Amino acid sequence: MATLYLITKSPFIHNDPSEAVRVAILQRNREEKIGVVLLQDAVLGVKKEQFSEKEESFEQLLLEALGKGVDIYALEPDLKARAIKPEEIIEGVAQIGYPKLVDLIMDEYEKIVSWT
Amino acid sequence: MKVIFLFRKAPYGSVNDVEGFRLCTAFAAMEIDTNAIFIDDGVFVALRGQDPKGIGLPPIDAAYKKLVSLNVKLYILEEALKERGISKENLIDIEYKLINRSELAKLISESDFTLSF
Repeated sequence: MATLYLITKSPFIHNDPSEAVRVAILQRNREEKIGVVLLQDAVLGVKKEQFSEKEESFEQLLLEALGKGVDIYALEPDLKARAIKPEEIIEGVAQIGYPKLVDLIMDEYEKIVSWT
Repeated sequence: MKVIFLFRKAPYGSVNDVEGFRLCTAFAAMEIDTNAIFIDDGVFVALRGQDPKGIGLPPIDAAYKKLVSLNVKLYILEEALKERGISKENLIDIEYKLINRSELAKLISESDFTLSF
């Protein structure tokens, strides 16, 4: 089974994105293919070296997920809108456009979890 | 009369910043002492280099630059910038004052009313 998580909220003022990534990491132990797409305000979390004052940061969670083989995607138009440059993004996070997002949803994953 | 607008949400993900801007413009046009304060995720509004063409929206930073010409005073909460790893060089070229939480509290107590977006 392949499962894709969709996250849309800012990880700074909501707990939802962290919670979704934590669940995705656990699910990776049971499933071959797990993906997480960051959309809208959720892309604010892919910039490197933020969250300096938090104990378990969203960046650490993303790195843990990547280390466990979870695929992390961020929507490029949302990054551009929010002035996040490609070189500022956490290594291993894939930038995708709308066509690729449709491919992920329709073809590459069997199940979608919309965590909004 | 002194009015404060608090901007707390990131731009584009919701219409809060746009609606707040519109109301802020209306107050300023009536020559009321209008103050816009960016806290929490609201500080992302002031980031340099926003390009929202790909999501079909106009850039919001340009709109906020207009507020200065209407004599709206702009403030940015320094703690919120720090929490998000944003340095002053990353901010748009706009006239603003950096404040801390106790200055924020003082501004709110001095105001006749505060609107949060």
